[in-house]
This record gives sequence, C-alpha cells and structure tokens, in this order.
Amino acid sequence: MRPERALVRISGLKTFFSTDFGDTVRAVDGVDLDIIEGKINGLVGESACGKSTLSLSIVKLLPSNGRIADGRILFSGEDLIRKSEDDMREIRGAQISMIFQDPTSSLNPVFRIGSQIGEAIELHRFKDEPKELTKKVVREEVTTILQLLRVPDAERVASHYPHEYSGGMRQRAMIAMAMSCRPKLLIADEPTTNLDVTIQAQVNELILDMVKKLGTTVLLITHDLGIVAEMCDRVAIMYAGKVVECADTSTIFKRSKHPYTEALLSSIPRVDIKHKRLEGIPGRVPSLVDPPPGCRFHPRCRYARAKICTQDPPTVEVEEGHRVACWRYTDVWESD
Amino acid sequence: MGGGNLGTSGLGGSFVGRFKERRYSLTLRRFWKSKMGVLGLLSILSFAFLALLAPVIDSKPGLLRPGERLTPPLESASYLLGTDSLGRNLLGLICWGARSAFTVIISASAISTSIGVVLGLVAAYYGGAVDSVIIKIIDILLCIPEFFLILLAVSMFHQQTLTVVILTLAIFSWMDVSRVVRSAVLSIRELPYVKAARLSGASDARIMFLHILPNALSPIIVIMALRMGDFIMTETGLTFIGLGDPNVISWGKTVNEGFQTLRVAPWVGTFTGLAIFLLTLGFNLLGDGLRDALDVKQRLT
Repeated sequence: MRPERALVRISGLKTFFSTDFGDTVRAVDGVDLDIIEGKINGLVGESACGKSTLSLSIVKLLPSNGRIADGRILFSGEDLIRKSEDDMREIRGAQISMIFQDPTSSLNPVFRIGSQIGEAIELHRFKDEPKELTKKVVREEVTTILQLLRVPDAERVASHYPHEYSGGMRQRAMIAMAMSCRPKLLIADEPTTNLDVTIQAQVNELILDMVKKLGTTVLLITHDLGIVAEMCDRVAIMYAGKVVECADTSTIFKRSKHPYTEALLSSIPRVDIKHKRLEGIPGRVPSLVDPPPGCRFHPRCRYARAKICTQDPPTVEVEEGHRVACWRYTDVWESD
Repeated sequence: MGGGNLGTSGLGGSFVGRFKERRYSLTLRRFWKSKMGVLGLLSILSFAFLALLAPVIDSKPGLLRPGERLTPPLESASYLLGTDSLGRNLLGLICWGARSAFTVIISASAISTSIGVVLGLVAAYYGGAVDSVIIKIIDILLCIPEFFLILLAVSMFHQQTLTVVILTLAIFSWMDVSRVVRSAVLSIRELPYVKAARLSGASDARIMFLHILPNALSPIIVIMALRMGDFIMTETGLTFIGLGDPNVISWGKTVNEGFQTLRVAPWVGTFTGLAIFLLTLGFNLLGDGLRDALDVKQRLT
C-alpha cells in the first residue's frame, strides 16, 4: 500500500460571517484537517456545523459576507488562501471541483447538458484555441465522461436540456460537469440528499466507481452515517465549527472516542440491537455567534467536568491516524 | 370567429413545427393563442411592410404639387389617401414616416437596451457600491419627466439630425430596462448554477453574459416591446413641435400640418394620427402578449 499523503492540508482555518446585526458567526473556527490523496474522505456533522462553509472555503467561493479570518489551506503544497482570484479561477474546475445538493437548480436551464459539461474543458484545457477547432474534441470528451457514468445514449443526452431529465440523470450530469477536467479533488456536498433512496444508492455507486477509475480524491460532505459507512475510507466528525474526531471509517464505527461521535452513533437505529427507545442527544446545537467556552460539546456532554472542559481541548492522537479533540484522553483528566 | 381561430392555430402549428426546442415552442404557442398579441404583431408587420414599400408607393416623397392641393381621399387613383395642403401624397408621407419611425424605434431601443442591460447586470452582479451608484443615477434620471429632458437635450443641438434624436431617446430611456434586468439578475445570481459556473472556472464577464443574461431575457424582451411604443410617441411628439430632423419625413410633422388644415382637410391629420395610434397600440399589445406568453409562473398552471 502506498503511504498516505495529504492532498489538502487544512490547518487552523477560521471562516467567519458577519451578519446584518453586527454579529460574527464563527462558522469554521480553527479546523485542522488532512484530505488524504486518492481516498474518499468523509466530513460528517449535523446541519449548520460549518461543513459546507469549510468546503466553500477550500474553493474560496464564500458568500459576500463571509471571510477567511485565519489559517492555511495547502493544496499540493500551495496555500490557496494566498492565491489571487485569477489563480483560483485556473484551479476551480480544473483541479478542484464540486457537486452540489440540488441538481435541478445547479444546471442552467437555457443550456444543453453537453455544453454545460463541456464548459470546464473549454475554459481550462483549450482556453487559447479557437472554439471551432476544439468543438469536436470537447463533444467527444463529454460523451466519454457521460459513458463513464453509464448514461445510456450519451450523445443524445448531451444534446438535450436539463428539464427533459429526471433528478438522477441531472445529478449524473452534475457529476459529469464536475469530473469533466479530471480534477484532483472532488468536493461532494451532500450529493444525494435530494434524491430518492434507490437513486441515491445508484448515484453513490457511480461516484465510487468513477473516482476509483480516475483516482480522484474526494471530500464527501454528508450527515448520513450510512453513506459514510458505505463509501468513505476516512471520516472527520465536525461539531459547531470544529473537527472533534478524525479516523478511518472502521475505527470510527468500532472505537469512537469522542463523546459526540458516540452520541451520534447511538442515535442511529440498528437492526442488530433491540432498542427500547432511540437515544437522542440532549440539549441544542450551540449558537455559532456566541459558542460555549472551551470544548463546544461540553454543555451536552455526559462526561463533562466544569473545570477542565471550559478550556479548549487539545487534539490527541489516541492511535495512529485517529485524532480526538477531547480532554478525556489527556493526562490532565486522569490526574484531576 | 371559429374560422379565425382555426387560422391562427394552423399558422401557429406550422410555424412552431420548425422549432425543435419545446421550451420555445411552448412560449410561441402561448403567444399565438393570445389574440391581442397577434393583432399587435400584425399591426407592426403591416407598418413595416408599408415602410419597406415606401419607395414603390411614392418614389418622390414630399414632392410639392401646387395644382393638386388638398385632394380628398379616394378621389384620385394616384393619391389613395388624398394630398395635404402642399399637394404631397399623404399615403407616401405615411409610408416614409413609417420608415423614419422604424429607424428611430429600432436604433433607439437597441442602444437603450444595451445600456440598460449592461448597467443592470453590473449593478446586480457586483452589488455594493457599484450597485448604489447605478441605482442613484437611475433614480435621479427618473425624477425628471422624460419628455422634457429629451426636449431640452434635443433643442441644445444646432443640427437636429435623426442620429441626435435617436441617441437622446436612448440615453434617457434605459432606466426601465436596467431596473428590470437588475431585479431579475438579483434572484438569478443566487442560484446554484451560477455557483456551479464559477466552480467551473468561468470569469465574471462569462457568468454575467453567458450564464445569467439568457435566463433574464424574458422580462427584457417584454419591456423592449413596451418601450418601442413609447419611442414612437416621444419621436412624433418631438417632430410635432418642430424639433427633430427637418429633412426627414415624419408623422409628427405631418400631424402638425394636418392640424393646421383640420377644418378644410380633416383626412391629413386623421390618417397620420391613426397611423401613430395603430403602431403604438401594436407595440403595446405585442408587449402584453409576450409578457403573458413568457410568464414562467403562469406556465405551471
């Protein structure tokens, strides 16, 4: 097995939003995360924990009231945060691309599917060549990518408009759009949330298949632990703007360490255990405007100790490749 | 009525058949169904036809024939609509007037739509300071009654050529287009496909003109059609009070002359006024018809 190498190395990333009321929303607040090359990296967390903001920070497409306050995002050794908008435009689509949740509104209704898929190819690979010369090559490339996604009759599909197709087909078109330039990193932001379950399984399988064939690194953002178990090699758990635990998928499911991960896992219904009652996590998601001091999870944590947990927890490597941000695994906890 | 219905739908069917895209054919079918819109289009087309035929109908436009002054309509085969106080062929005047009217309408709306589209797009897309500056300019221009502004601007020129009239019309009438484009773009720019385009590495200009603009076309087309009706009114208004190119035959001038001989020769003013009325009405009906046909919300029902 090849040694694991991080394609993207995020350290100390802070992305804040300013609201109309003058508040600062600390959507991503000091995240360290490695996205391992050639793997499917999961990013899990409940709604509004900052996982989408994290992904938008990587491509630097934050809404106008958002800003990256601090940190570094090393992509193949280069800091994306310091890159200019022009440089970022070269990277987007060519090296990093993204799939969104909603395929219907992510496709432009006035363009044929083929021309939308081909756009990134035109913009990056053939940007200096006249369009007439490259038209045929682009069309062939589009057909190839659609065939890779097992779209029947790819050429005909490419010549149609998005509204003529179903959600599953549109999501395939979205994936084709994202993959058209064979990017190094694919960010999939809940790619199957809006599809029904059977189509979900199909689309997930297609993404897996395609990524394995092309060797793409994936950052898969989801709140569905089932999808994580099925697809991801590694997974990071996010809570209230911070990564609380990060490990291989099997490790997370077998030996999760962080109380939040534990609580999350015990809130999934399982067929092999007879539940009396499915456990939820008590309390509410903290406000990101005024987060609790120290460990973000301590107000809801069953192990929390008032004295220690109001300090920022250190990240502890409990075993190789398994990092937890929790005081319970430090010496301080034992000696207290 | 039944025959008329068959006629229009038959025409619509064959016309539609040539368009492969269902999206457009649906819009067209809806347009053909709106009788008023089709009527407006017919009115415009017939005036366009007259304008094209002007040299055939009257090869010597504005030729004075002192012996044939104030010939009533239908009295002579060569002057179907009669002649005016200077013995000019009224039908010829109307045809040549239609020519200048169309010249003004088409060029002025092309220029004003371009200005409006670009400013509206830029304002909505970039937002912030750019947006507020453009909005302020629009607000200021809209405060002043348009006709007087144009009147003032045109009268400042020594030589009031057709170009001067066209440019002035265009410069003081892009605000509506801008506002319409701005509001459409404000909602479109937030859609995920715009983000997707940016993620493909598209530049701002490409996103604005290639991805956003085509999706905002419907309101632009509608406001353009309605604006054209306004242009006729303003242009004839200007020429009626003696501004505008003196070397060009225009409806406003003819109506003015007809106004002076209204007692002895009512046909001069009446027919020309009717022409102005019908063409303006045509553009307004066309605009309304297009609005109904392009309305996405209605299409769902």
